[in-house]
Amino acid sequence: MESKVFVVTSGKGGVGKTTATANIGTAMAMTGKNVLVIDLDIGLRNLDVVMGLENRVVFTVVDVIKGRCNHKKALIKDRRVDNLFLIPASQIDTKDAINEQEIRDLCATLKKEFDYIFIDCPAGIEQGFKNAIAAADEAIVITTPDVSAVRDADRIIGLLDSESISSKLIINRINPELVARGDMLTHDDVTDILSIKLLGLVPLDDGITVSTNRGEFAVTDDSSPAGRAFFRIGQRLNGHQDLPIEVPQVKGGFMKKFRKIISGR
Amino acid sequence: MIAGFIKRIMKTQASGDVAKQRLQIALVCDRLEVSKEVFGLIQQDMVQLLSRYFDIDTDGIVFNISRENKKAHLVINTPILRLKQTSAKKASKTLATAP
Repeated sequence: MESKVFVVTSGKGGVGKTTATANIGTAMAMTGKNVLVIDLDIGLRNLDVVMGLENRVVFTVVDVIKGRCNHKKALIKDRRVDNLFLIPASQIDTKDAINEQEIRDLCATLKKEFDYIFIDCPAGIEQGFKNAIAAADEAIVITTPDVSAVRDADRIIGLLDSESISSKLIINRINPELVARGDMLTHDDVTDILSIKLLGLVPLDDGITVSTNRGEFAVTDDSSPAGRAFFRIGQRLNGHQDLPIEVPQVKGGFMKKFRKIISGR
Repeated sequence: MIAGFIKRIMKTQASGDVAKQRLQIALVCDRLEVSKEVFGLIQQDMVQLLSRYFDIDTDGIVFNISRENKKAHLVINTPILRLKQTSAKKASKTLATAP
């Protein structure tokens, strides 16, 4: 099987790139693939702490690129999920510490050892973004149903397109109650506006805050709606393209819904 | 509760729809790198041009920019009510007098 590099990107910060990277990577490792996640948000390292691996960081991606250590030394193997590895970002360097060619070379080496590589991209469209997309075969664009996030996603899709990188869309933090009363862009609105292929819909889920607090993966928790959505996204990337996309639904019984409609809350 | 319900019904447009419309216009300008004013002028000109030949429903007209193969495509979707009689006559006249 040909190995693949995905970049997880959004333009706007705070829409869930890091959480998505951690959970989709984990989902694919759970199905037996050899998965590596790389944090390229250099200077603002976060993927390690989201994955609960912050105490095991010794070497970083910048150390590997600058030849200060072999890439094998920088790999952190997760002890909960088999076949899941992290290369963390450096906290003391800046985005300019590395360049696009160095990332291409690094990924060419790593592709020999892993089935899937996920790159957590920094927010913005500057050097950090250029580095993160340099080696990508495909892009996963994350947005939330907010005007600012959708607008930034559109810009990012345009930039990826000009580099001939095809992108698929995840809409994160969908609040079905707000959608039901017409106060949130629907997933159809967002895909209409951005006109790219939809990869998955992730509901707003308090469980994500809890699992992130603990450094655990929502995707391994069957009771987490967002976790289940991320798992299905992983399956779709893993050859099950036709797995139906579930639209987040309003929870609760008929009377609860009715009361909500009446009170507008 | 009932007052709130009535108030909600009275509200003209759901905020989700407002968001969609605002985004569509903003993105057209972003993608073409033209200002909102210039895009407004293009819209006006297109409406004028089409109105020479058709009675069109100007409220239903939709301008959109789509992206394919690295190129932006301007897509104008307009409900046509009917062909304008004057322009139809003019066209058949030109045809009849053509050698």
